[in-house]
Amino acid sequence: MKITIKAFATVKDICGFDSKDFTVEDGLSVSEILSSLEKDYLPLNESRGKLLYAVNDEYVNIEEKLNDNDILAIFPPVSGG
Amino acid sequence: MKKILFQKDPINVSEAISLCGTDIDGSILTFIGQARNKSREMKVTHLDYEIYPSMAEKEMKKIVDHACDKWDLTDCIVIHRFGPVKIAEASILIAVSSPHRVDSYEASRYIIDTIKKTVPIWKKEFYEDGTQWITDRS
Repeated sequence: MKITIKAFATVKDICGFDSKDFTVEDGLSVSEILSSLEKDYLPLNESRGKLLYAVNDEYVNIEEKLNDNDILAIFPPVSGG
Repeated sequence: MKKILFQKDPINVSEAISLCGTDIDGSILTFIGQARNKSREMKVTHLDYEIYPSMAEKEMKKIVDHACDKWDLTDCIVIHRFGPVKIAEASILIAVSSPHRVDSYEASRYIIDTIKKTVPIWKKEFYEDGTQWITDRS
C-alpha cells in the first residue's frame, strides 16, 4: 500500500523531510512503520515513547493499522498557545 | 458567533475584541498569549510556530464546539499565529462573551489549556546563540 508520512518539529529535523510517500506492506500498524523508519533515522529511537501520531488528521494509538493512501503524521508533544 | 483563525500576520487585538460580545452579554473576556523575552534563564530573540494546518483546524474546532456546548457563550473567537512571532507580539488571542462572567472565565481557561495539549502547533524558541523546539510542557 502507499502511505504518506508527514513529519513536524523535532521529527522533521531528524528525518529531513516534511512529507514523503512510502510503499509498505498492507495492513502495517503505526508501530511497525515507526520501527522501519527508525532504521533509517536512528535518533527517532530515543523519542519513541514521547511522540504523537495522527492518521488522516485524527490522533491514533501506536497500534492503529493503516490503509492504502493514509496520511500518517508523526510529531512531538504540541506546544502552541 | 464562533470564529477560528490561524494567521501569519500580527493579530489586530482591538479589532478582534470589537467583534466579541452582544447586548445580552455581561462579560467579555480576552486572553492574550504574548511572546516573552526570557525562557529557562535564556534570552529569547523571537519565536517561530510550526503548524499542521488541516489537523489544527479540526482540533481547534473540537475545542471551540465543546466550549460552546458546555458553557453559555455568545461569542467565541480564537486566533493563533504561525511562522515568526516577535517578542511582545500576541501569539494567540482568545475572546469569549457570555451573559455571566463565570462562563467566560471557565471557558477561556478550558480553551487555552486544551489548545496546549491537542492542537498540532509547535513553538521554536530562538536565542542569541541557538534554537530549541519546546516539546516538553503540557
